[in-house]
Amino acid sequence: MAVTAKPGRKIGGTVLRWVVLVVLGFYFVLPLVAMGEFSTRGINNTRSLDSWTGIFSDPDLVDAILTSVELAVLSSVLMLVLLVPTMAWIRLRLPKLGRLVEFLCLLPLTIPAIVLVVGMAPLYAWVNYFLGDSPLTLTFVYAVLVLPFAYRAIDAGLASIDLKTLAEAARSLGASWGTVLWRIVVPNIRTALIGASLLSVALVLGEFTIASLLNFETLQVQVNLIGKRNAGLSIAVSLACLVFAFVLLFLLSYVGQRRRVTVVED
Amino acid sequence: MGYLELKGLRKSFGGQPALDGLDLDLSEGELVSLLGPSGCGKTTALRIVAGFETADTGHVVVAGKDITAVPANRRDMGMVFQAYSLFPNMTAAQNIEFGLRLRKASGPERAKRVDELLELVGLGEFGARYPHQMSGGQQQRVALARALAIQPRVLLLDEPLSALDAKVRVSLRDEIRRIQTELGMTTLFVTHDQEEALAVSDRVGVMSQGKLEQLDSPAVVYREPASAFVAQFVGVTNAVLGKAASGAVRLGTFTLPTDAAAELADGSDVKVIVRPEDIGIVEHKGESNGSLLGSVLTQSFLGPVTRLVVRLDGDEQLVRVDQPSNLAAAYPPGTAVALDFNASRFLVVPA
Ligand SMILES: Nc1ncnc2c1ncn2[C@@H]1O[C@H](COP(=O)(O)OP(=O)(O)OP(=O)(O)O)[C@@H](O)[C@H]1O
Ligand SMILES: [Mg+2]
Repeated sequence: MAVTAKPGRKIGGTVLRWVVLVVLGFYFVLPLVAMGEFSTRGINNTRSLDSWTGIFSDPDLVDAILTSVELAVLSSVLMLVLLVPTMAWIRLRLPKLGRLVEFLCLLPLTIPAIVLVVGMAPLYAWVNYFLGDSPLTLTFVYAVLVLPFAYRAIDAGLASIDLKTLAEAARSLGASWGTVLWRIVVPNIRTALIGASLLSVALVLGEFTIASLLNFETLQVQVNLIGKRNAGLSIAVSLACLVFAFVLLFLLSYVGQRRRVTVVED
Repeated sequence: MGYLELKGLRKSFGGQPALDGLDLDLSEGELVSLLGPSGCGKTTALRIVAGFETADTGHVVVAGKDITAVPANRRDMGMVFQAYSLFPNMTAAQNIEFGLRLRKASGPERAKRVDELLELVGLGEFGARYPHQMSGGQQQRVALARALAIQPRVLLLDEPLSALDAKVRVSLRDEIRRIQTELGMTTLFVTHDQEEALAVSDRVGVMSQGKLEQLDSPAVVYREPASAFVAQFVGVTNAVLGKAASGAVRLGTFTLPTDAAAELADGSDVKVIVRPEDIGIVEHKGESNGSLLGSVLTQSFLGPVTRLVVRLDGDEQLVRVDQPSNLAAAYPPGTAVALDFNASRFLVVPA
C-alpha cells in the first residue's frame, strides 16, 4: 500500500518545525545576545570592548583561566588513563564486573556536589598535606566528576568494535597487553576518546560549586568574584566560556558523525 | 610423537563440560581438521592451543615442549578467526606487518615479507587498502597472510570460511590447502562443514561432546566410520531399523546375514547404517523372493547421481538410494524394486 503524504500536512510539519526552532533558538540565544550586548556597553550609550580586553589585564583572572585549562587537561588525561584500560580489561576478561563498574561510574551523577564536598573535605585535608594546596589537586575530584559522561562515551566506542577478536588476533601475533591497548584499542576508539575528553573539558571549565566550596581559585570562582565588582568583565568571561563550550560540543558532534562505511561485495 | 600434541584436554564452563579428555596428535606439516556438530568443543580446543583459554587439566605440547603455561603472545601460533579480525585502523600491508614489527624486523625486511605474502594470497594490488575497502573473502586472505607473516609454528583456523558465500568458500579453501602444502605448515582447521573437512585435510578428527570419535584420513572416515555418530555426521547415510537374529539382521521379512550382529542379543533392536551409494537396486516383478522390497517414492537429481527415495514394503521405512543419473531413469516413482545390501558396506549398531 502506497502512502502519499498530504501536501497540507507536510507544510504543517514544516511550519511546526520552524516554530519549535525559533522558540527554542530564541530561548537559548537571547541570553547570549543579552550578555554580548551588556558586556560591550560603554559610557553614554556607546559600544566598547573594554570588558573584553579587560579579561587579559586582570592577572587574577588570567591565572584562574590557566588553572582551569590545566585542570581540564589533567582531568581528561587522568580520566582516560583510569577508564580506558579498566573498561577494556573488564570487557575482555571480567565481563561479570561490567555492571558494577558501570554503576560506580554513574554514581557521581546521583550525588549532589555539596554532598561530594562534605565527603571530600577531610580527604582534601590529607591531599593538601601531601601534595600542597595547589588548585591542580582538584584534578582528583574532577576526574571522578566526569566519569559518568566519559564512561558512556567510551563504552559506546568499545561496543562499536569487536574488541575480543581484535585483541586475540593481536595477542596471537605476539602483542603484550600494553601493545594491544595502545596499538589496537586506542586507535580504533579514537573518536570515542576525543568525545569523552571534550565532554570532560567542557564540564571542568564550567564547574563552580566544588572549587568554590574547597576554596580554590578556578575560572568560575573568579568570574563569580569579579561579578561583584565588575559586572561587564564577568559577563564577558562567562560568554567567552559558553561560546568555547559550544564550539567543543559542536566539534564533538562533528567528530561523532564522521564514520567510514564502505561495503565491498565478493 | 607428533609435532603438535593435545593431551587429555578437559575444560568445563560453569560445570558443563566443553572438552572431555581430548587427545590429538599432528605430525609436522600435516593439516588436520576438527569436524563436529555445533557446541562439541572444536573452538574451545583451538582456543586452548592458541592460549586464549586455559584447560582445566591436560597439556599442549609443540615440538616436544610443553607450552600449556606459555601466554598466548609467546606461543608463535598463527590464527585466523571466524569473525573478521583485521585491525580496522591499518591497511592490509600494515596488518600483515604488525607481527613483524613486534618482532623488531627491519623496514626493508618487513616490506619484502609483506609483498611476498600479499602475492602468496593473491592480493598483490591490495596492500594499501583498509579492511572496510575489501570484501569478506579478501579480508580473510589478508588475515591468513597476517597469521603466516610471523612464520608460526602452528597455523590455527577457526571456521575462517563460514562467513563467506559458497563459491568463495570453495575457492578459498583450496587456496588455503595449496598454501599450507607449499609452506609445509602444521595446521589445525576447525569446521562444521564436512565437505570442507574431507576436501582439504590430511586427516579428519570427528568430535562429539568434547571427545574425538575418530581420527583418520578423509577416505577412511568416509568409508569406514568408527561409529554410527561418525557415519551419520559425515556424508549422507540411511539408518534402517531392524532386529538382531543370530548372525543376521532381520529387516521385515528380509534377512541380512552379517557377523556384526553376532554380539547383539537375539531380538534386540538394531540400526543398519548404510550410505545411499552403497545400496544396489533392481526392478522387481512377481512374487516375493526373500529380498528387500519396496517402491520408489521420489527421485531427486543431484547432478552426477540421482537420489531415489524408496519406501520399504511392510514397515514403510524410507531408504535413500543413489544411482548414476543415466541409470536412474529406469526407476520412475512407483516402480517396485528390490534393494541389495549384501555386496555393500554397512554398519550394525544397537538402536
Ligand atoms: N566462554 C564460554 N563460557 C561459557 N560456555 C562456553 C564458553 N565457550 C564455549 N562454551 C560452551 O562450551 C561448549 C563448546 O563450545 P565451542 O565453542 O567449543 O563449540 P564449537 O564446537 O566450536 O561449536 P560451533 O560449531 O558452534 O562453533 C558449548 O556448549 C558452549 O556453549
Ligand atoms: Mg566454534
